[in-house]
Amino acid sequence: MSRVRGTLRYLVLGTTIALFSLSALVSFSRIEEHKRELQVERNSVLWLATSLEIEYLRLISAVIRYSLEPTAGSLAAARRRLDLTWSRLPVLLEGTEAEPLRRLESFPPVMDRVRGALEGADRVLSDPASDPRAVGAVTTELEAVRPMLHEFLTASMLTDELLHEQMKDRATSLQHGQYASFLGMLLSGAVLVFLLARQIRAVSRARHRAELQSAALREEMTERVRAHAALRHSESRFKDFAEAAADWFWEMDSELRFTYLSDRFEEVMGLSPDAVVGHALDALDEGQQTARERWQQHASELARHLVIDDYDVQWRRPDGRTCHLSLSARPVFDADGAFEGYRGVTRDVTQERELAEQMAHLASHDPLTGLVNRREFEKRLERVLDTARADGSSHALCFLDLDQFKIVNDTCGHVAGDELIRQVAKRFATCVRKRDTLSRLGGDEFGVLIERCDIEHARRVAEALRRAVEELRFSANGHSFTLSVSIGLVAVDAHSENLTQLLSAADSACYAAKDQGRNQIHVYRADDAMLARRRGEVRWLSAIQQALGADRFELVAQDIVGLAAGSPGGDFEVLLRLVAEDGTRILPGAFLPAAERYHVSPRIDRWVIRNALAWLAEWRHHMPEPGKCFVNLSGLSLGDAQMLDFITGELKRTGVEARRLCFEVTETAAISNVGNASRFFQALRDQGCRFALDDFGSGVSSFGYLRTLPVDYLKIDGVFVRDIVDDPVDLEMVRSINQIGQLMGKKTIAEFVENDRILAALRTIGVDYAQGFHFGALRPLAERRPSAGRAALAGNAGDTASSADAGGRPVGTA
Amino acid sequence: MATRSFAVRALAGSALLALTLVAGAEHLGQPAGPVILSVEGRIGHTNRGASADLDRAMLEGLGLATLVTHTPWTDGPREFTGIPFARLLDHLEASGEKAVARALNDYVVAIPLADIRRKRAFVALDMDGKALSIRDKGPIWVVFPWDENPALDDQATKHQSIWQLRTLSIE
Repeated sequence: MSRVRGTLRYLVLGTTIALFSLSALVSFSRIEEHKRELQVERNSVLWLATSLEIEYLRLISAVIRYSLEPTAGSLAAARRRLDLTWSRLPVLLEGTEAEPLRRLESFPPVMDRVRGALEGADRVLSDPASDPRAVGAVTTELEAVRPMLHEFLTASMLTDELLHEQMKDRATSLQHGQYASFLGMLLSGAVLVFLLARQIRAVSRARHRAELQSAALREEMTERVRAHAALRHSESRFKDFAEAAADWFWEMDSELRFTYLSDRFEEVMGLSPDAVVGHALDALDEGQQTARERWQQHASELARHLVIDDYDVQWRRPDGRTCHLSLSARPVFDADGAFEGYRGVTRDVTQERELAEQMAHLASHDPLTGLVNRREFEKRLERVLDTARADGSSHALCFLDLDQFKIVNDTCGHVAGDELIRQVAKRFATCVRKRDTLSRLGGDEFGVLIERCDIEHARRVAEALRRAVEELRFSANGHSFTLSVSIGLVAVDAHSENLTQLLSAADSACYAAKDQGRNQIHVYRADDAMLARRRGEVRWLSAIQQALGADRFELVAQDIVGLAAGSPGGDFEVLLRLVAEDGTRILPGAFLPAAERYHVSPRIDRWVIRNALAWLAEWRHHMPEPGKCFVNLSGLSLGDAQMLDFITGELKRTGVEARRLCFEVTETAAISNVGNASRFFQALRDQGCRFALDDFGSGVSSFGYLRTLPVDYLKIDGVFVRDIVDDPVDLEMVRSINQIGQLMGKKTIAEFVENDRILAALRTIGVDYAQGFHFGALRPLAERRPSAGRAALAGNAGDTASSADAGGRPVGTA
Repeated sequence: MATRSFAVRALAGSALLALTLVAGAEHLGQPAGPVILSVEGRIGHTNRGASADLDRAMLEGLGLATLVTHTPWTDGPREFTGIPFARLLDHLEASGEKAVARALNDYVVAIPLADIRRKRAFVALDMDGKALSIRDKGPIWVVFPWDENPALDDQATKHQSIWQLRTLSIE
């Protein structure tokens, strides 16, 4: 009967556990589903509609161009445009993607009209002998459909809103589902706890009964032990003691209480025997540092009456000295085999132990810094490599080489050199975790082994190490030194070949870091060296590095003028110039490609940001609100993990408000890495910085990405702006870019504004800002005063600075 | 299993492929027809300056395969004929992180090479037995086996499914 009940109980318990897990699982999958649904929300409906309009606008432009100059080339171009526009139709008519659009009331009539207009265009463009008037009629028809199409685009934005609402509803219902399964979890959890509590109570009752029985038994045993004790003691005591030369002897009774301690106990332990005799082992444990685990293990061995050999224990004497003890003991049994207690010996092994430790430390450590030496470092690296192979974990290896050690050594002597090494070692020690290995490999070389980390974490550690040296101010013999360190970083994982290969990879990465201008972190890549040889841009690279080292860059400023009445002004863009040895200014177009290729553009960007902020720190209080400084950023900086921290840090250091900065990124740079770009933009926008997409309009892809990229300004590519007065196609392009930009809530900026007529055209179109030679020549930022910006706005509009300096073009970093 | 809608089967292409590889001193040969795809960047073989210009015949020479799948922009299952994207990369000995693909209308998307292999991207030349025209998203449309792998129904893959593909830059 009770077996049946027992089975039943387990059955109920099992079912409850199953229910609990099930509802947890359901809850979890609900959350996952929820997340997925919300992602789908970023529907590209608007993008589909927008693409149709853009292609349509481009078609109109091409047909107009053909009607103005009817050549075979312009005809082919118009036909290509027609095909491309046509290809947008099936995309809207078929498939799940455009489904929400098809639900719009205006969808069928708009599609009919668009198709009609396209068919008309098709007829005329496929007939080579068609009359110019027919082309004119087609243009008129195409133009007539445009407003409808545009309205449709606006309507499709509303669909987007509807879609949003739908998603919200779905999310709410999901949430309800989640609540339900959570409730299920709670209920089944409660039942589970109840059942377990009952189980525990039953077990404890059974134990209590058993204890009562055994207590009676024990009493009887004790009686017998006492009877035999006196006799056996005297015989065997000295025999056991004689077995080992020892510092002091001791005995315990069957309850593991000390009953006897020999004379030297007090001498070695610094404790009176009276404090211990009659007490259990715990009396000695108090206030000791012996690891709890080890102590418990010892106690449990005693409790199980085992033989104890050479148990090592650290003992802190009441006077604060620590000594090492080695302890051995034998259990004592009476004639009937009942446990009577222990007899043991304890030796003071402090001196031996300390000597051994000293020897081991000397063999594996560097005497100057106290850090692990190269031999020990390699031994640990080998161990880590084995671990990586065994469990697939990843680790990282750093080689660090001080950049200026030789100078310190040569100018101030070895004593100063040694002191520098000591200080650097101390700094490094604060940057790594306890479990990681920091080693002085020799001379001015250090090594760090970072265990169980991905390369990103390792990079952060390396960055901390780099910064630690950068911030160290070392002075000796009246000289003061600015220091830096070059760091090579290599991942250690199951794919790592062997120790030798790892060491040489770290070495060459460190060398590459030095080669790139020192004070760098270089992550090892197999094709590093090869790539560098292949490109012939090394010349520029060294010019850039020299310029960075010697501060031979210059910023020039160009005003960005608001076109709406009453714009406060004060916005400007800073552009970069490299000052050559002979003093000539070199435009970014020449050296930035090399900077990108060799990954030094983030360093240049840092230089630009530092200097722009320096100017802002000095003059921002005189700037009109909300005047901003536009700074170009290279695509590489978007992927540079430290750039965000750098910008945040510089803003804090200089006290400049984030809203004074607007970063410009070319659309190509943003698009080739949308993920990084979005994260980067969002992080800085949260602080108040603004973002502009530079050279916008060279690809329609941009419109699709526009929705995902959190930017505030679109800079219309200057090549369209320059000719808008003479070229109707360019005018149309600028108009449509502006229109779409406005629709999406972005401010638009036109570059290359060179004269009054361009400016007038831009005003008519409704572009928000303009910049270019029309508003005056470029001026060095250093000479710029906030009021000067406004003077340029009001004054010399006629001075178009006809110089052919392409510097009017804000050369991006793409 | 019988109703599996996705099937890639090599046609007689492998024989052709072998021929192409043997013929001519150059690995690629020269295009005889209009160039429909230009590949540049980190590739091992080129035939015009730093770029590899390919016409339809050269692409077909890599060995045609078919892929039957639904797509987010068409109704019903469609049968695509073309070549697995990975095969194209291998043929050109492409090495790098991503292919920056540009379409005739200047749409640009960066596709990680790892995605191309993992998602089994497919370079489609024909749909339902007809060569893709520009009006049908041709001459080249990069499609994915959506029917076989539901995980492909995400925005990233939709962006990568570039149509009217014209150039690839391997970076």
